[in-house]
Amino acid sequence: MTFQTSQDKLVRVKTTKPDPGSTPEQSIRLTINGQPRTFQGNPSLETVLDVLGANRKHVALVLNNAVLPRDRWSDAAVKDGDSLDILVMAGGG
Amino acid sequence: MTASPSITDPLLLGEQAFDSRLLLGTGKFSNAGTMCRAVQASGARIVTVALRRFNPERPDDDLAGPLAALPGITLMPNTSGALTADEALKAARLSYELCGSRLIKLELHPNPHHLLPDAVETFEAAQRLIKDGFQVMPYIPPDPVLAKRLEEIGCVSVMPLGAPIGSGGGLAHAGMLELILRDARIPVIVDAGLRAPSDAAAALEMGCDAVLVNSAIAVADDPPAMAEAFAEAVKAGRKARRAGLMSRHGGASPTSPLTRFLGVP
Repeated sequence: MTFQTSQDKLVRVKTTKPDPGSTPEQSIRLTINGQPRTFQGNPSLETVLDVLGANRKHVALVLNNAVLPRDRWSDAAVKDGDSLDILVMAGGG
Repeated sequence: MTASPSITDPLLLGEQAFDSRLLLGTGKFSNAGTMCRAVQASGARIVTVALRRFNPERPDDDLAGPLAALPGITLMPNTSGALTADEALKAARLSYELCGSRLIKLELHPNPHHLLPDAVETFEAAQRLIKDGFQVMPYIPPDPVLAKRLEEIGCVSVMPLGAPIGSGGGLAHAGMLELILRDARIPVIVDAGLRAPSDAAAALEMGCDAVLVNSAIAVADDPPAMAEAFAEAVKAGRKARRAGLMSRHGGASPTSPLTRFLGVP
């Protein structure tokens, strides 16, 4: 695990393969839009979006309180305890 | 959209030219279909949108799809929901991720009772957003001093309120708007409070460059028809402004000859 600067926050970037000792049965707990959710295995960020049914093209993300630009999604790992906010376009004046 | 010779009398915002002086908000519509028909009927080229949290129970419930189907529309996200300059910056960055638009309607209104803009946080947020490369259109109280300060730091327009958001109060501060207009060198767009197409016409006649309308159209019995009515009023008001309105004066001035010719000599 290394760190890179993204906007004004540090974001974890996946640089190593998962711990070989991990088992497929493991799960992680994420806080999605303020609500706790459990995900099986060690899902990527994009897998989390797919599991939730979010259209990847129509959402913007905040990971642990920092805006996560779209071009960083594939590099960003989520881990147990992370907070993810998913935003969509809504009506407004 | 860039400046095009086919656009006569364009609304210029930064480097961009738009051939409508009616901006439309997308809130409060009963459904996305009605909203889209209203956008088309309005002829608006700039449409505002907001952010909200994704709802896993309704994964397809967002406006990105319906709005993408409308040709010739530029999306202008707002920062609604932000209470501070920090939050407004975050909202703007998220909006850029969603819309790819650097045009941002900066609105910071922390008090839900009146939704009046927080001038201090708005000014700070505008400075920081401009530094980040955004084209900032701040929603402001009708304050000529603040409007000038925002122009000086590089905002592409100012958006003084006509009356509180959703109030239908019309041009409640026309005198202050006139003071803003007298010195402004960037477009002045009346945002919020307009109720009737005549309010929009009056704003354009006064010299405002455009109006942003949402509630008055969205809550009408027939939103597309009201959108069309506002579009016509905006065009009439602008045409009247360019044609040159006569000056007001206290006394009467006859339009017909007053020479006596019916009296018995």
